[in-house]
Amino acid sequence: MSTKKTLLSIENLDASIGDKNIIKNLNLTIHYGETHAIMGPNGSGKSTLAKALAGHPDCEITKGSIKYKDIDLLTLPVEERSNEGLFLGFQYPIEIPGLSNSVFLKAAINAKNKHQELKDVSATDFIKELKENADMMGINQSFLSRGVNEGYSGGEKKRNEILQMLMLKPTLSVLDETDSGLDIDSMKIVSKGINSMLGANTSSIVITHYERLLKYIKPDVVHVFHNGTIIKSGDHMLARELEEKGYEWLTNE
Amino acid sequence: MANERIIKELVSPNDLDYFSTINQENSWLNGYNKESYLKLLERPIPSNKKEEWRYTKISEAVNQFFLKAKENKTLSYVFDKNESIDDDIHIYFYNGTYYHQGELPSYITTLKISQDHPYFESKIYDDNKIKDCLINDLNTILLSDMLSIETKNNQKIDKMIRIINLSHKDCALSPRISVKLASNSSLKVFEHHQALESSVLNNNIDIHLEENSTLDYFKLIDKQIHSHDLTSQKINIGENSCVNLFSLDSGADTSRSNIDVELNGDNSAIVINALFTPSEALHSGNQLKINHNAKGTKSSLDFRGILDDSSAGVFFGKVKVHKNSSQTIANMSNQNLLLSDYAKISTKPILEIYNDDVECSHSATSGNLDDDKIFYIKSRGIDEKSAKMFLVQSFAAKIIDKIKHANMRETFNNHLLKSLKIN
Repeated sequence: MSTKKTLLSIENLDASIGDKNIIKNLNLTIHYGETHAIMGPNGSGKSTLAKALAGHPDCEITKGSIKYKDIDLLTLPVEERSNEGLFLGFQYPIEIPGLSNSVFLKAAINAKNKHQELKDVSATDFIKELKENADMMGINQSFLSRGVNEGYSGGEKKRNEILQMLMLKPTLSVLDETDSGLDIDSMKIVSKGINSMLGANTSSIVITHYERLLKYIKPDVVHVFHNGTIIKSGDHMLARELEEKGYEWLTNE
Repeated sequence: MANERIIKELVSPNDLDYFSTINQENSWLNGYNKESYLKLLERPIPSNKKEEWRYTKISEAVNQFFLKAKENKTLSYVFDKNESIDDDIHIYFYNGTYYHQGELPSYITTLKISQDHPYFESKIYDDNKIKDCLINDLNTILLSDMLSIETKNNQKIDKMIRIINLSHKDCALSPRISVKLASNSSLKVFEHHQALESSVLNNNIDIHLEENSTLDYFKLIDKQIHSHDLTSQKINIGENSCVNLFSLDSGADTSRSNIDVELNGDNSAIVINALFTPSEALHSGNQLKINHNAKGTKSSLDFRGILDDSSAGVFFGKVKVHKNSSQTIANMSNQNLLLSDYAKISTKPILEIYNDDVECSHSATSGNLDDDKIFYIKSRGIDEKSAKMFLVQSFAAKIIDKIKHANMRETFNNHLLKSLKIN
């Protein structure tokens, strides 16, 4: 492990939402090419970690640091974090009626290109890639001209999150309960999308309640979150153990 | 009301002399101008104690009107040689006169005060019988040319008729338009009030549809600096006929649009989709009165306000379903987006129903841009300003996307983008 290059390094992090201190003294290191699963009971602070990484305005960092690609992530505004290759897959994707999916995605890609001093994506390349990825995600063409997540079912919204991820090609994707509310077929499609992204130069943090998803996406490390910090880490066997025993044997210790 | 002030108090005694001689070359119309003037003088100044004028201060507009009207000008419109000529029909209203290039088709007439005496007089008289209001009086005082568009039975006109109201500095304009559709005909009109500076516009539009006809009417009002823009639009709709009205108003010191619709024929319909986007300290007031007077009539009103800086918007909509109007469908909605802590909106959608067999709804909302939506868009790499712009556009798109005519959709969209400045 030590020869691997570090992508993300969280040190002694405290984060609060409102007056409530939620993340407490968290330490986590993720190398390029790794997939980390974060599991844990409701209210343990998993989603707050996702918000802290993406820069949600409600989430205040009160202590510690986050280094991403050797940049102090906490100094970057939300949009620059994305342009630097950090992607947050929302637990509850937002509906934006009236703003079409394709217009939105094109603007996002061009914002990233601009940040990297690249030219705007050509219309034909964009449409070709969008079509291919939409096909992979089982998203009907007609959805692409509709409003972002407008009137989508829960499963469609999650697949749309993965479609956005595929188009933006992030270095680090943080997927917040992408599997919740998915039926078996959608779970397979979403997993396929996520797996197609993983490689030696990309990493992901998969936040989930269930081992189910981890049958399709093999994590390198599984962490158990409790009371705002990691109380145990292990390999994918830990996930199986949690599925059998629940969280109590760890949280009561 | 013993203490009510009347308009006479706003004007100086010398004004009467001026308005007695305004159309010297045409005595009958001059008499008419003068009569309106005398009538107007005795009118009470609508105070904000009156429901209809509660949020629109009209006295300043009236004041300015008298000041500007007295500025004597002998200007005529010069056509821009580089102007692109498309298939549409272009008519310009400038300094009291309608201008056009080439010959107008037979269904359009510009009535010249000097030429069309008997016909003209009867027209004004007809109009005034059904309209007795302040905006109408102001219009008549300065009335000169009039534009009349009349279809014949079964006449379907594909060309867009573009009416452009132009201004010069410090002017008072009184355009008057009459649109009549005979049975089984159709027509498209685009009316554009181009950016007017330091001017007062009193616009009167009369629309009348016989049976089985369709009118699409597009109205675009540019941002009016130091100006007042008053419009009174009176619409009568016959059996199985429909009027589709789209409008975009970017506001003025006083911008006031009165729309009165009489759904007189069975199964007649009115559809109004409107955006109002005042910014700075500008105002945009919308007053609607819809009367469902016959069976199976439909009204659909969708007004969206986007208000920035310290601007103020008003929506007052009253839909009345009369006793014999069974199977009426009436939907009225006003949604507002406030982009600044200082912007104001006053909204009042009213339904008055005297029949049980109807389907009616009314709603009003107002709010700020949604922080969750802004965060979602920014999380995909898009900066805050663009994120807000996307949200404002998506809010307006619900109106713009209803325009089926592609050129008009583009025109409205471009004007919308121009009128918005997002910080």
